[in-house]
Amino acid sequence: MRNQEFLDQVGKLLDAQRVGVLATHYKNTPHQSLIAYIHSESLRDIFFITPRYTRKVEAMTADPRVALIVDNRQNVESDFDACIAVTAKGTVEEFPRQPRPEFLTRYLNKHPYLEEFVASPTCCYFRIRVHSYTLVSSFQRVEELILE
Amino acid sequence: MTFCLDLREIRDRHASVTGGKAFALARLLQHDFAVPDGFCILTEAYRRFVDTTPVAERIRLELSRKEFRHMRWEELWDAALRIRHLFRSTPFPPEVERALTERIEQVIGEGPAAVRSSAIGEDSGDLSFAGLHESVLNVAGTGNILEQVKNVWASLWSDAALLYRQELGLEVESSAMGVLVQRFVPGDCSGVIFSQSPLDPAVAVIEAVSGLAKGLVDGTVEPERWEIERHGARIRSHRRSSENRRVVAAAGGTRIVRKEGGAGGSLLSNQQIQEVYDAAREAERLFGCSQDVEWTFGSSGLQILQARPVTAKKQDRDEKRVWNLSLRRSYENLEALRAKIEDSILPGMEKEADELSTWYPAESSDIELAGQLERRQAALDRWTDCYWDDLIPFAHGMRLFGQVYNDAVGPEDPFAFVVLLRPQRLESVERNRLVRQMAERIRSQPQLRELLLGRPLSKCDDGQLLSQLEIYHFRYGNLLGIQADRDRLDEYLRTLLLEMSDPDRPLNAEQELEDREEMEKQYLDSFEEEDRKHARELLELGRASYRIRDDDNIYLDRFKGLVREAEELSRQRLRARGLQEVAQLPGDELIEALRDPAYRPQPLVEQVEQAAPSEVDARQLLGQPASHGIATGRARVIRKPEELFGLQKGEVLVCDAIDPAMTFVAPLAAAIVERRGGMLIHGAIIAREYGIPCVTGIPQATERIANGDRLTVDGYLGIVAIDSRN
Repeated sequence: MRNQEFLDQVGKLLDAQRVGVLATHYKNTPHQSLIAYIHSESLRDIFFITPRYTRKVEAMTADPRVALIVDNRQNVESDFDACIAVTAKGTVEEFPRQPRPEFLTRYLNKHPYLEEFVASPTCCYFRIRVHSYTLVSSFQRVEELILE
Repeated sequence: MTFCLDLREIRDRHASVTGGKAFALARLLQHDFAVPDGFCILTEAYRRFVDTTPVAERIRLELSRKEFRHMRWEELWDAALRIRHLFRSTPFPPEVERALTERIEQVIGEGPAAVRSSAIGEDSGDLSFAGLHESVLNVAGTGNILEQVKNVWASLWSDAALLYRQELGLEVESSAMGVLVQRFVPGDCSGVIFSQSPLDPAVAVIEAVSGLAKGLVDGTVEPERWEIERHGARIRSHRRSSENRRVVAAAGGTRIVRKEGGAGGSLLSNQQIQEVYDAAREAERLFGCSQDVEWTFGSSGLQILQARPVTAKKQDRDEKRVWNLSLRRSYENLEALRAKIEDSILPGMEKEADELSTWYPAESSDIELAGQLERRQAALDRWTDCYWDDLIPFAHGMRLFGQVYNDAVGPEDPFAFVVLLRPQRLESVERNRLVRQMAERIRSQPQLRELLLGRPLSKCDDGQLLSQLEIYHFRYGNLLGIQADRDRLDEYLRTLLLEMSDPDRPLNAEQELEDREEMEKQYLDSFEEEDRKHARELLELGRASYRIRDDDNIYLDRFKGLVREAEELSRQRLRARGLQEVAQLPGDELIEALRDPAYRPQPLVEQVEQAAPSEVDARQLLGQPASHGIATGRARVIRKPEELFGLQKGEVLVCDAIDPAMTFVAPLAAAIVERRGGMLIHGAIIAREYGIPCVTGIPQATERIANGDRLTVDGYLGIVAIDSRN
């Protein structure tokens, strides 16, 4: 698969889904959380917002390396051939709230019901700088693209 | 997509998109009944509105904060208020607004309209659901009508509708509401007729009031009543009414006024009675079952406003829910309740508590003590009943004002109005101020503080502090109803005052509510001159409701304290008589034992239910954000009132329910977490006054959080994170 074709598939899946599973670790213990995300057009960045006083923030502060998995399974038999899953691996960094970041408008377009949540001063904004994408399809087909 | 249909255009196939009310009226109109012109906003418009904006998902989020069965009435009301705010602040999708505007201009024009709910399934089923949804009368101007359409839509999620959510099958995905917009008829005389009485199938029943039927429907105006024999149409009975009030159209709505010339003669002539009766029987023939018809006589004669089947409705057997529903009161009802509370209930409580306090236990015999305990217990029971019947329902005054304020001002925060309710003088605020003054006195006198570290309060030599202590005992006494003598109480107070006077750790300051006057002005200015008086009356009602809500607990606590005092003394006497197992003995047994020297209490069989041990540990709890802010601190879980005195500066107060008597510790707490939910409960109000975060409505808060757990309380999002266990 060509780079662009691969990235198109990744972009299509990330567009279609609203939430993914973020994997972190803290003090040698793995931790996973559901997050609502958006991605940049280039797919270099993935943005998400979370309350500050949570395990995942504690974990990301200690070690910014994270993985995010997004998939389109329907919990039916055909998932085994039809489902695709994308894992983004990268480094996370907190994004300043001021000035109002550009991605916020797009974030609220995708998740308009989160407006109040996003406005809370106890929420913090994060960006994952994606280093690589892994795409799993047809049950066992695995392809990877290193971005950096 | 069709969003509106004229009443004349509605056919059988439209029944599922118009709602019952609009469908029935359309049929009546098409069969030559006199029905005011109008159109129906179909359920598709509602669905388009909620599905193409964040509304549907926001309702889902609102209702999923907590398991529904655990939500209290106050939490349902708060949720309904937030949902109403959401509808009001969300713009219409352009295509819906266009369609509605066009139809309003075509059918209604500049004249006044009635905007009524026409919910799917509203008038069917076993329980009567009438009155759960909103209808608004006498609204003029396209913009105002559009605004009222949103209010009527939002009432699909009213507090009362949420209470019956299961029976109504209320779901975000599938529920929808039709709206009926008709020319408004300012009737001279209106009412309802049951074409067949549910109690006596041989008669029809007419009830009539002067002015608009609203007064009858919401129970404010007492109707005149006729029974008419269905065989032969003869009047069987006629009950006049002494009512001298009527509901009339007033600027932008309706108002209740006194009738000129008092109650006067009969409201309907024999010919009018016949006309109403004939219309109802005709409707009965049309729909094939007996009908409950709402009607009015306006300038163009009899008009039919609504018709629905008379069904033998089942009584709701859920007592708690029936009580919850009874909390909804009209302004007039609340005003009458206020007079009763202020003129009779509170003075009555105070007088009786004073009388009971003048009794000197030391000089009494056991028989006299038993009599006194019985009197105190009876008084407490009586006033507790009164508390549930009259005082709690009066809290609805705050809510009524809140809704009017939000409609008039349209604030960003739907609970902003609470600031305006705060009165100048509140028993608990006065008491808290006195405690604070005592702490400040100790803080300003380092030697005094040093002395108090090892000496009781009453043994200090500071005249000012001693006189403050006397005032405290005289005015507030054993406010928390703790089973303790004065020395023990002084000891509790000393611990608290030492903590509060620590010079290294300043106390939380009360917030200055400087915007209050500006807010009040903005509220009053949003009304037309002639309505401003009523707006002020509503504000006063809200303030009285807030004040009484706070003070009534304090009055009731005096009786609890009096009962405990007599019980404690009874136990001392019984112990002196050689009875040892009296600590857990209930009041009625204490009385029996005092009266009968031979009485031996039955040993208590302890029934401890062993719950299966749980290994599931709470890490993050979700409640309602009730006061903004964020704080981290150790948990101080309060299970008994005296534990409050052990609260240390910077700890998070975790409790089941804060009552005003407990609020004196607010200057020390880093945050408040409460099991009881709601935005207008004491914990939330006091937290906002002190500017500390508060999360309410956390089920089993005092069980899931342990003393000493390190908590982070997020008062913006309603999250309590348990960072580490003690």
